[in-house]
Amino acid sequence: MRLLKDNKGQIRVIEAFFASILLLSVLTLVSAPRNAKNTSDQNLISIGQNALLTLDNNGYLSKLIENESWTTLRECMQSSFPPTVWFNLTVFNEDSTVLNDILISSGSPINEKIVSLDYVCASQSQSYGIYLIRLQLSVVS
Amino acid sequence: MPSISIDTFFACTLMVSVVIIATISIAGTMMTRIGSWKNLEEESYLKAISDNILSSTGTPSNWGSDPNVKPEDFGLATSNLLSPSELDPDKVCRLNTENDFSLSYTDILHASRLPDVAMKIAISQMMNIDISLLSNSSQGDSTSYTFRISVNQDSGPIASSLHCYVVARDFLQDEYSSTSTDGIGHASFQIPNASNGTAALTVFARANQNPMMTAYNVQLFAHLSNEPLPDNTFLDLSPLNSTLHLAAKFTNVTLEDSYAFSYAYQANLTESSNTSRMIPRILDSSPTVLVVTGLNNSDFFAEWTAYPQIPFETGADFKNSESHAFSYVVIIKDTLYKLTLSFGGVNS
Repeated sequence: MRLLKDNKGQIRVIEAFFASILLLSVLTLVSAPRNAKNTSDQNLISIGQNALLTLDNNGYLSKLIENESWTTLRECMQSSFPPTVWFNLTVFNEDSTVLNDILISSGSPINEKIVSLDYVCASQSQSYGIYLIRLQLSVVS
Repeated sequence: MPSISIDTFFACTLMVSVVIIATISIAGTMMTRIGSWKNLEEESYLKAISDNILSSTGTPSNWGSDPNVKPEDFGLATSNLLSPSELDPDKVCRLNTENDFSLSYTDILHASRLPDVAMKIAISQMMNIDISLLSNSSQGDSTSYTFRISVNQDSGPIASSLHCYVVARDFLQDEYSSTSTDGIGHASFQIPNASNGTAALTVFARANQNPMMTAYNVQLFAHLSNEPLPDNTFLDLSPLNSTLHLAAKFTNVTLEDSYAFSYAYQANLTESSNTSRMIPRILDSSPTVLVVTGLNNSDFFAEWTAYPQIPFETGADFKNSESHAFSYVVIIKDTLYKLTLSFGGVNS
């Protein structure tokens, strides 16, 4: 009864409580390093760029776009990636209008984490068309 | 004991407990994060190295074509680079251990300046071609052979156009064919019975979707003779700098014909010396297959190699061990190949 009536020292308990809150909050403040690049994303982007660059050799990529060979383009992309990589490719013209009227994709996304890269492709024919290719990539987690 | 002391005692105990728990938690979290930073840095570092190997020519830039030169800096890109992923066919040939002028693993590591890192380089074709003999039958003075050809990739079968060449004793025949959408095709040949001995069937497949995706396979088969011995039994064939270097493994070996085949073209190799043949520069998005025929005593044989000498694997064996692997699609002589660079055993 005497203990219950004695309020002295309660401030220390409150202090301890705040201290513990402070210490625990430090845990949530420890964040990932800002300069550490997400390497898996970088690797995916690198794979995508590599695939587009090799396909663009001798202007083959722009030929496929000009001929609207979307199925062939999808097969070419599929051959360039391992089966574990999902892709979705969209071709825009200079006015940002989508050119491909069918889906150039390897199916449904297999991972919520999708990286995207843009590639500018210039036609080697007399039309001198410039196309923007947006490639989205994801990998089985 | 006054109540304030009990309060203070409990408060101190609580604080000390929280501090200990928090310290342990932070230490654990930081250790995990530090470990993952280290892994990220290691992977980024190795990725940068592999990118550099593919994009630089090395020093000297012509180290691939001169068999007497070893690179000071390791790089596989071609000197007159037209595409960022274009590799030099001669530099690639010098990585294949079957080539007489190949670099040793130590040379590669020394030139890469990676003494503490194990490395493996593997280059393969974009498509696999499987050849199997379906049937054979003798008709008069010749024998007919029908082969089943299957073209596929990791992702599945590939519809492609085929060009097949058969070389036998004093005999050469070719045939165009194609596979269906399930990647299966057939090729038939009639070989005179007088051309008995080992025969070589070379198959080129070009994917309908992309002419740069061209692959080859060669199958030796017995034509009215004993089963053929494995390739490189009689000759060592080392293509380099548009020259095929031949080294006979037996004293009684005499050479007869030598051919260069690509998907669209064929040519005879011209003799530049007793032990070398000139490889013609074929402008075709295709690997070149070189077939040499000859006699060992009276036994007819056919040996072959490809220029560039792909597929191959060289370097460390990472079986059952951790490694970082980076895959690329590369262009060699206007043909697409898959290249994988693997690194392991990074010294921390």
